[in-house]
Amino acid sequence: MTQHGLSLAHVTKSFGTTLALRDVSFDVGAGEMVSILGPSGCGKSTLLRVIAGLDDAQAGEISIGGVNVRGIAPKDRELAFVFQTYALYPHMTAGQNIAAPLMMTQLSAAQRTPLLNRFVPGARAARAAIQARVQATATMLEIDALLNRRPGQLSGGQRQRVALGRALVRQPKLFLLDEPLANLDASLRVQTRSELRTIQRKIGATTLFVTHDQAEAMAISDRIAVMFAGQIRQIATPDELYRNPVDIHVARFMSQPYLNVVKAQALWRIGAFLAEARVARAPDATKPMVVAFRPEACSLMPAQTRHGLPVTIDRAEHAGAEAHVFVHLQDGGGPCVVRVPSDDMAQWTTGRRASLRVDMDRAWFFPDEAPPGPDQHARDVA
Amino acid sequence: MTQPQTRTRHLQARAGLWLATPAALLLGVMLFVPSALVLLLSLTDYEFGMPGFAFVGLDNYAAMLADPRFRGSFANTALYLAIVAPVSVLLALWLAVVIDGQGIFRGLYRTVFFLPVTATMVALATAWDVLLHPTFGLVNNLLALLGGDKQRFLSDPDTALYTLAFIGIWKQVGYNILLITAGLSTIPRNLYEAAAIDGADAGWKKFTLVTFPMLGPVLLFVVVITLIRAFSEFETVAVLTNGGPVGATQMLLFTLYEEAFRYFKVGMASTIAVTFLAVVATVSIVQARLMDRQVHYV
Repeated sequence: MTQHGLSLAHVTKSFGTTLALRDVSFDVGAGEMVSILGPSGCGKSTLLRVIAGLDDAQAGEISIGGVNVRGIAPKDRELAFVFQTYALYPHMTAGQNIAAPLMMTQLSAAQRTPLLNRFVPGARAARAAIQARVQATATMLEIDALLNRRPGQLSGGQRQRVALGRALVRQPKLFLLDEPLANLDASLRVQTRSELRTIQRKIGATTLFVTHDQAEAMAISDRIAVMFAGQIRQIATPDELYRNPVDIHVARFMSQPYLNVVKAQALWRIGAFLAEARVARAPDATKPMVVAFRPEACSLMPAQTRHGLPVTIDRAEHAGAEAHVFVHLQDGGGPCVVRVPSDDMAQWTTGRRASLRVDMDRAWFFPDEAPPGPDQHARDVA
Repeated sequence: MTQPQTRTRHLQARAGLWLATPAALLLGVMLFVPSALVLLLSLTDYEFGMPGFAFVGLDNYAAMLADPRFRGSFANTALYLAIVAPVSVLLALWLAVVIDGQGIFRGLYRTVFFLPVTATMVALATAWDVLLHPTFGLVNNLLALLGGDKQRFLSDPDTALYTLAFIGIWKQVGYNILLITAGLSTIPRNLYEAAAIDGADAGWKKFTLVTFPMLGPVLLFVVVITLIRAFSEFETVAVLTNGGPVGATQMLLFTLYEEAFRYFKVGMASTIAVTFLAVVATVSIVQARLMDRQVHYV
């Protein structure tokens, strides 16, 4: 990891009695793009706001580009923030919006004042320099043609680009993006996220990207920090996170739309072979355990064989190239979902008995935990 | 369109008409008919108690513009307006922004400044009369204590109108603060946060980048309501000066009142009323136009 990106150490924040951030610590390398992934209300936006200085943390240290930002105002932290709502100034054109951070920081009050600025030395040159940077930013984002329009005249995607432009134009050390794609429609979202990644690579800016969409995070991040109830549960590359989730909650979040979770006792009882399941943590005999596996890590056999788990087919759903077959384990083992090629879907008729084989190389063994709530203690999962 | 849909529409249109009728009737009886009558009367020489009247065309208007008493009244109203409107709007804007930034005392300040709005103006004017009394008034006692000369605030022709303007500002500021405060609370917090990151986190920068432009529609309304209220100032004149001394505080509405109810010249009073209505209507129309074009940022 390279030096001087962003570093958080033991950051804690509470609103009244509610802990929003619990002892959050992680580092982001310079030029790295890290997603903060978590369900709504997990504290991910609060984390971003604390880093930006819009909210104050009760404890912990934050440094941006190697500088401890304690007591430094948001405007002096050399960062840019893209809000989910974009927060564009509605009375200004797109061009003026993009120019705003430069106008506010590089021009004096007199230079900013209309009419008066004609008599201030240097105003013309300063304005020309700002205009050039706005133009360059707009060209990169392909919004040159929109610079004279007001936000009210722009589409959601165009507004998003203007907001991005306002962030880019100041060439900050750190980009903070708070669900910047959430207000776009689905197709535009996919297109914009890859463009976002391209731009981020091009300018090499350290970036924190908050999202609740795991597909989005997987697609564009160098690393993903998964957050539940104010704590970072796991921070790893998308591939690592996908293959080796640290607990059942991360596994569930990284397995959309379905994850099969079967109580280990049920499997033992029916004699399944579990020895090869990936064990994220040493099995604790005193705690109930679960086995988790994705729908693609298991298959259905027509005959009832000794090696599979006996199941009954409930129903099947077509999903294009593949289909999801919903089954339940006999002997009270609970429901499971199996992904099969949609060509084979027809044979799995409701009520049919079959045998479920689980690829134990791709299954995990987790303690059976309650969903993460505010009463859990902080744990070191890094 | 199918038959049932047409019928539903028809029924809805009729229901709408019925529901709007009472308000329309009231508006007609209370507003449009009297206004039309006033307009008609302004073209006559009608006086209370006279057996008949004659149409005199625009003679009343010509007489009004030629009479130095009316001219003085117009000039006084204009001067009063020129003082009260800008001062009470700008002062209220400044106070509202400052109060909005206050923590614990916000509610207290709002109450204090809004008090003059809630109380009866006639009672408050009487209180001012006592405060400003030339001999035993509190203000003059304070002035004397500080070594100044006692002033005849309301009975000196040089100071009377300015004194009334001061009271007018005092009265209007609280109302304006309330409107502006309401406007301030509708500004999205995100905009201030974006501004804080963009380098406008306090003071003049924050005000010019976010607060002032976002207050646009509210401020326009405040300016118009202030103009109209100052233009129609009556109570303070009636209670404190009666238009005196020597006509120094004659203002449009008070002149109208005198013309109608002291001299019973209904024709001339109607002429003033029409003039008054025309000015108010013009201000309102300009506001509506500006509102559409300038301050809605779409």
